[in-house]
Amino acid sequence: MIKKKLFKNLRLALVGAALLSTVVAGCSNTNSTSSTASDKKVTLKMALWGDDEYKYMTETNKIADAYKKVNPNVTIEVEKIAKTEYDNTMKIRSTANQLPDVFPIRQANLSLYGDTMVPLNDLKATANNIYAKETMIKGNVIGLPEAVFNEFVFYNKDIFKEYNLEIPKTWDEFIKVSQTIKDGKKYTPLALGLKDSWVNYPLNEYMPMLEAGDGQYYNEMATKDDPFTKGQPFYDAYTKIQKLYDAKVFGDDPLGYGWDQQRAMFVAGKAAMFAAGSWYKSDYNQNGGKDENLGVFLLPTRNTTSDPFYTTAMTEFFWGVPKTSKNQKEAKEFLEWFFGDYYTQLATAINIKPTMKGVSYNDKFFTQAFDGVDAKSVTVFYDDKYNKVKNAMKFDVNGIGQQMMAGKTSLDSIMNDLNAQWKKARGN
Amino acid sequence: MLKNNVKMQKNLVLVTFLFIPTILISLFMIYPLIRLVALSFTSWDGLSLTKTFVGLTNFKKIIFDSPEVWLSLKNNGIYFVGHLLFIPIELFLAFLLDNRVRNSKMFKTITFLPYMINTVAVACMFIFLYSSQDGVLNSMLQFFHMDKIGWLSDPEIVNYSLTGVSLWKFSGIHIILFLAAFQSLPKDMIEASIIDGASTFKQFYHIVLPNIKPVVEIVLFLNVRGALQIFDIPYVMTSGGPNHASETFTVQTINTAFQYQNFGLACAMAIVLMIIIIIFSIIQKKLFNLKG
Repeated sequence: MIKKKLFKNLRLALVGAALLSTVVAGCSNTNSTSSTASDKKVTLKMALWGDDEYKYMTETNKIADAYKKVNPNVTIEVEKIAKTEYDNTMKIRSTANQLPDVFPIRQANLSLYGDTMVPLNDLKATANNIYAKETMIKGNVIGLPEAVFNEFVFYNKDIFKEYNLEIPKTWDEFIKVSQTIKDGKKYTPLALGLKDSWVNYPLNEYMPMLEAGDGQYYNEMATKDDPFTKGQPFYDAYTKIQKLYDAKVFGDDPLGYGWDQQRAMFVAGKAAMFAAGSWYKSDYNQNGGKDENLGVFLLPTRNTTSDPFYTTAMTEFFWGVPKTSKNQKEAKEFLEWFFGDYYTQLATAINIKPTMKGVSYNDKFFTQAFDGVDAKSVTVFYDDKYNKVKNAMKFDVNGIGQQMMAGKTSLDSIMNDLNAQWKKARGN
Repeated sequence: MLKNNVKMQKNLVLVTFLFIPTILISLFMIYPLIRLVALSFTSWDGLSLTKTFVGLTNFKKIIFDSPEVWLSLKNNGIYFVGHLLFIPIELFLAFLLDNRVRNSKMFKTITFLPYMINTVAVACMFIFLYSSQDGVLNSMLQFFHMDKIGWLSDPEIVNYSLTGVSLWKFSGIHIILFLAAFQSLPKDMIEASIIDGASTFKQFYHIVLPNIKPVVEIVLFLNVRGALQIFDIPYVMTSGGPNHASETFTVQTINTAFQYQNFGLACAMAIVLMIIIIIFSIIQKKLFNLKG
């Protein structure tokens, strides 16, 4: 009887222990490193969001195998995180001290990571990177940009031929081309699905920089109390944008359709032009767009042909190493290797405009946009000071674009309001 | 001795069975709530290792210096009123579906179907329905030689369009809840009223309605909570646009945290929302019980 009771109690205790161990095991932290003092075997965890990079690194030219040949003690594990989830996933991992050993940061978030990442100032790869020194945070290079994107206007060659149009060289010419297509009443001149506010970033976000001829113009704005005043680059750029919006060249109701429909319209040949970065080309092809009809030119924002022709260069995928990594030395060595021959092959294979000195780039499609134009690139970069003001006043240039398109508030009123909010945010 | 053993065994079983739910509730509800409250008193960008204590600054900012937050609550109000006005219709539909129409089973399934579809899918479906470029609704209007309507682009209309989607999606669950309440009513009460000569309306108003009061209260509470916390429909369909015209309180909170990197303020907003829901629910409950 006693034996039976004991057995019963023991069984209950075992059940409890099993449950407890399950929970403890579930909550336990798995370490990415298995090391011994003498022969250190290291696993470097790497995360990224780019589809093309991931495919290249895990299928076409396996990065783990390639690095194993150079450093047999280091194993590379590549993880792909969905593009839309990437930023938040990294933030969550950062708070949980679970950041991968090597990962790219989106430029928009770079200043956020200022205190989180290891400085890469001493790497040879940093010295060889064309843009690294232009994108420092608090005096340190915390990420090495992998690619640089220019902004273009993609256009349908057949439609341009039909209306006998030439590539516009100034802002007024650009509006005139749009107007001519609009007058034909057959096509939407410029597809701009403003229901998704971000699609107007080539206009509302980048044009003030082009007007100022300075990719860091927003950073300069952060040092002023009233950067939205008449005569300032921001105001002048927005006056030009308003002129384009007033020409109503985006279809019946651009605020009523979004990015998906914008893409569909352009691929189907219902729209003549489409403003986006070089990244859009692969999207166009994936959605069935044909290269024969596709042309490309740089957005001409200048007033006259004698003015300088500025175009933006947006650096992206800033590869860095977090301070929480237990393998910082190995991770930095890996980055040094990554931005060598492997990078040259990667850049060629996935056709990105390289950021490293000596890596050639010969994309005939995009080169045509620069033919006959003395374009000057301005490198887009947002620093900590600007981000602080932006976040404090919830500054949303793309939202302002929607407001301008709605046409219910005058530009002067919008700008006065922005000046007041900006001053207050700076004061705080 | 034997009594003690039995008691100990009982306790052990209780502890064993309660262990996991307690851990889960502590881990996923109580701990995050405590963290939420703690974070609401800080200024934190969501990434830095340091969180600066700022006292009640975030709450003061929300209450006295964030007109956009209160404007977004007005948009929540449209969802609230829309669903509130729809409750009598839902009640009536549930009453009809309670074996008062032919093929009621089929209609019950149809009614509940929208609730089962993923909200993002519903939102995408309605985006195409409302679209200004070849959208179904505008095409129909044009067919009848009427002007197009900016369902999602007109700041004056957009919130009503989105409330329509919310009604389409969530009315089904309300109807099913009412239906379950009707079916739990004792049949003899209704039979007695029929013998006494009560009309269908009188049966509904004097017998059915008072007896399903607890369910109506639950639906009203769900309405307050749902309307104030509505997020997915405006976020997917308009991202709060055009120019913040359809931003709801939760969309504002998410943007404050993830777009403008102000997690402390966003946590304070979440607490303010929680308090508003509690206050609204209490007021609603009091009003509902005024008649006794």
